[in-house]
Amino acid sequence: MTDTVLTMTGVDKSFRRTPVLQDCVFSVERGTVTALVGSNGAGKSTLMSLAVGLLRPDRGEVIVLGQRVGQRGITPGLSYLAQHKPLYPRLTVKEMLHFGRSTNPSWNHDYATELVDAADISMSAKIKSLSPGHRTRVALALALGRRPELLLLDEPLADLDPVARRDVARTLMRDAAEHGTTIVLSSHVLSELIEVADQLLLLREHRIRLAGAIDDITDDHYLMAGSGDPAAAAQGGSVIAEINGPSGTAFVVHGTRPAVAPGWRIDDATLDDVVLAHLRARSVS
Amino acid sequence: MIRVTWRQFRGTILVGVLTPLFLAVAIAAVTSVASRIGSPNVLFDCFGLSTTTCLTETALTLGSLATLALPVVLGVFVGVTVFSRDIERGTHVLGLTQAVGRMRWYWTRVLVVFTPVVLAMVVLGYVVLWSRFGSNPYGGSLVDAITSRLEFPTFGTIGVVPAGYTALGLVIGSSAALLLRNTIGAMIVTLIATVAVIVAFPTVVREHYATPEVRHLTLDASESGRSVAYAMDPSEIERPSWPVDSYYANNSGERLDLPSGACPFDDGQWPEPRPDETTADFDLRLDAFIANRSQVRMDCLRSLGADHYDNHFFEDRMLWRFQFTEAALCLLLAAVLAGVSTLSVRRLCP
Amino acid sequence: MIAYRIDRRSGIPAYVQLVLQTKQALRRGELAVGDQLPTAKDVVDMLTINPNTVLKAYRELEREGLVAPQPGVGTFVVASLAKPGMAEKAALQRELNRWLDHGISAGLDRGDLEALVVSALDSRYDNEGEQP
Repeated sequence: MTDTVLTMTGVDKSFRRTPVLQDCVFSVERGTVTALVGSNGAGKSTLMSLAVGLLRPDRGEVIVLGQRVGQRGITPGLSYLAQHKPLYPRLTVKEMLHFGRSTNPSWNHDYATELVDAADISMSAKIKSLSPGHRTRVALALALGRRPELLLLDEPLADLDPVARRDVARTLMRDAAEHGTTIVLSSHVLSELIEVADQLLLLREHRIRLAGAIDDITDDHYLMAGSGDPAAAAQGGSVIAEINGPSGTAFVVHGTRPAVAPGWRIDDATLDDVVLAHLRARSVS
Repeated sequence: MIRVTWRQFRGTILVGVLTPLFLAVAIAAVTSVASRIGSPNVLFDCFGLSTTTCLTETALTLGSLATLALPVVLGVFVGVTVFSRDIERGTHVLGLTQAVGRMRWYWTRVLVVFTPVVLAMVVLGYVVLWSRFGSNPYGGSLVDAITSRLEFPTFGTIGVVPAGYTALGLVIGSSAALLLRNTIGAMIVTLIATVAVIVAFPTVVREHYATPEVRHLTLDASESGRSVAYAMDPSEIERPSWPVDSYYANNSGERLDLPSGACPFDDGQWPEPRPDETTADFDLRLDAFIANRSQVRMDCLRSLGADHYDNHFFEDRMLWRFQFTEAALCLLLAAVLAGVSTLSVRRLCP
Repeated sequence: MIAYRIDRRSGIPAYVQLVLQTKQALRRGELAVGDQLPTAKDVVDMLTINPNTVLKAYRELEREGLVAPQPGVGTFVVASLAKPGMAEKAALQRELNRWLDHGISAGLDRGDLEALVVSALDSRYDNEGEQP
């Protein structure tokens, strides 16, 4: 019996008649770390805003922690870190945490303070004087101080230097390990997410094209390099797209590997290959 | 939540509170100087830097005008920025993704920031009132006529009404910011709307707060007064009344709409002093001429059906009733607008 | 405590690497029966990987009968992969180190300790003619 913390069914969302999401269906299980990938402007931020209740879907349902998402404030147990890491610039870090404390009844002040201290950030520093990395750490402390069961992060690692990226990722993993927090984070840079995620959601052309455990997804795909008609050689599997890899061009195919494929070299596909192929693919629907 | 809102908007609140308070202090200071040097403290009595008296007069006039302008200025720079800064920076998302709901976030901010500013304007209004009318019964004149305290612009600068206008201006500003999400656009809309309100009140609404007094004048008395608009005897009352309507009525009391130019007093031919006439003789001749022309005019009016002349006015003693009515009206409108604005808050998106 | 390392470019899934490294440690005697494996939190502290990866590796090891979880306490080694000789060597090494600790705390220096060992060896092998 799986414990689902976030579900979307049949969700549509358009802005001024431009569709952004169409018929989105997926669910996120408790305790997982899900990477939401898609090219820039694919609708990742919109998807997150719908989950948080900042936007209302034109059609369909969004359910978080068993409750329909409404307008009465963010679902308790859900925290959100927006892409621009919103913080009040004129407040000090200490005052920012007090904001969190006074606007959230279930606030763990010690935990939030600990996260800020671990990042070597002075409590009396003004928010506007912080580096992007430190801003993200403070914004994260604000989100985690609510002790969420589900944490949504929109491009949390963007604009961060490698050290800061590592630190933020470690904070997230430690929180997941210690409290079992379910995490969904979006990025258009896959390499950042590979190490920390175990589930994947891929958004392309307004729909979810791939969803599932990363290990299963990579197992279900393979690379085929060679000449001829890939569809014929695939023997029932579906050819996703042709990609350029370090070892030349190859086709990424979804399905069971053919026992025999003369003229073709079959290889394992990495998650990079699979995601790249799916982002490249053109679909008819 | 209250403390956090205060901390976040400390600067804005201080500007909004200290500006009226500084103005009040400045006006009070100039007023004590003016009373010491015996200046008449009459609005627009003198405008310029020619004498010290004139200087104090000018300063006080500017102070009154500033009091009238403050609701607009505060609406634009406090009302709008309370939400526009957040929206511009995208930090309104922060307010919307904490456990405190959207409505509480909105109402806390509106009340915590706007209330002190409105209270400061109450102080200012009372200081202007004391400044102009504390000891001087005839204060508040405009140019060379004596106007009532119930009229524009004096009414809007004294007592509780400036605070009422400010409350309305602030809410107009915040509503515009939430609706338009564009700072400059919201500021322009707020400017226009608040000025419109401050102009609409005296021209359209104010006269309906109570039933005006009516004074009937015989045609005789109205003629002798010559200027029908100010036909009441000034010695009967201490402060000028606010005339709202005046017309000729027939003997059933109905209003007569006489065509303009009916029964002209003269045809432009006034007697000229003759070279051989003494001033006294000329004065007598002039009086006779005027009496004759008045009689002709009265006969003419009677022939058109006029029986008497009616003046509708409000006495100065209505000041406080009108003040509280207008202020309450402003607060009511502000509350309703703030309530309607919650629709924008509900639809607020990142 | 075993120090895991993940080579992200190897193409081997992270959890498989953890399984392999654990088995390696068991073979080398670095992990013995009864030892506790690091918690998911400990590994995440070291490595910044998904804690589910750690849990997956441990479940795999459990399936192979090498470790068993004790709810509320941790995951413990229940079987050894060490070759017979290697296990004994490891045990002996530990005993020897303990003996050295005693000797050193009693005030003996290297020379003394060496002399003790030599005399013991001598008496054992001399008395029994080079046969233990």
